[in-house]
Amino acid sequence: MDKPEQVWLAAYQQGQPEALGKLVEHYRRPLYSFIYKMMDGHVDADEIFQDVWVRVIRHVDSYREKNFLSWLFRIAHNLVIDRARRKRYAVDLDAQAGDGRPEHGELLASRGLRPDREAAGRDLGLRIAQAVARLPEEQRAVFLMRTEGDLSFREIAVIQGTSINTALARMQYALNKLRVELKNEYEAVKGGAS
Amino acid sequence: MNCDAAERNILLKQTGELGVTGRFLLRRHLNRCANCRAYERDALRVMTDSRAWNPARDINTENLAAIVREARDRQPNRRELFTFRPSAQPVRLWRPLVLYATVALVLLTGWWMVTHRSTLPGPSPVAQVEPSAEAPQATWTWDDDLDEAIANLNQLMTTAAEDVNGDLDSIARELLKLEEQKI
Repeated sequence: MDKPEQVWLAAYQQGQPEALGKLVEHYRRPLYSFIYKMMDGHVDADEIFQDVWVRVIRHVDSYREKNFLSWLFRIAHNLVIDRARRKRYAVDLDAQAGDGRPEHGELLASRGLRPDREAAGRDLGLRIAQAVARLPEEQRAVFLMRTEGDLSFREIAVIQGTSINTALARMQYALNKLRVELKNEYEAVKGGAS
Repeated sequence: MNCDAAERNILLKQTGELGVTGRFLLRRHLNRCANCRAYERDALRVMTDSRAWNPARDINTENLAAIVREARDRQPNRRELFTFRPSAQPVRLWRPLVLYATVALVLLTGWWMVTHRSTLPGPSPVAQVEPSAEAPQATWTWDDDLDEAIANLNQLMTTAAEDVNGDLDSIARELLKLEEQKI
């Protein structure tokens, strides 16, 4: 049986523009999170998100891939890299406060967590976001495509135009750095919970 | 399997890209390597925690509306494309159909020709000419002078044959004379 997103995509290809709204809504969370975190929370994330869908609309006839999300991430990745080349953003997230940009400290916990875990988790989330933002661009892209899009390493390698071993190595480096940076936070959460 | 390969295999296992042999070797390595077990646990935790946190701001609803508007505006163009420039999908579909139709047409034509052979017009028979009752009469008449010239020539040739040193000039002259008469 076809997945709902495949049904919506087929409906859109057959001339129902409303079906695209459902697709956008379905993929909004992973795609927007990826762009937002890749752009260090910059407001350009909205613009890139919009550009991704405009490109989808223009090229949907030539879409041949199996995984629609992988295609979305490829377009988003290209746009983010292109934008990053034109503008070099400051990595320091705290420096963003006060210039109209949102803070990563505003990150919200997902629903369903207990208040105490949520409070602890909010800090942890902030730390993770900051640590991820400090990763080199390629490693951050691999980490976010893996976590936000749940893409396979084969798909990530295709998107980045590298071998699967390179994609794996980037993820390995990213995780090792995050492990080191978050070691204290994890121990603190563990200590608070016990 | 060393720890570096084990770390990669842990990542591949999470995405379902690790084969049966790889999983077996990884399990065996993890059973005796505490560092890699810790790596697996931490990697999973970092990824899960990172995924669980959403950006505080969401995309502007106006932007979402603009996307749908763009999709609606583009729709007529897309229909036009489908009408006048079919994409690769219909072409792929039509190609075998054309092939099947051609083969079917050839087979039908052959079948029709076999079954309707008796009614088909055959080759036109060769016209047979009845032999005429009387052969046409020759209108040509023999020339007596020519007869006389041939006789002279025969005589000269006989003379020449008898005498090797015969009058060859006379023979040539007689031949020329005959040529002038357009034998």
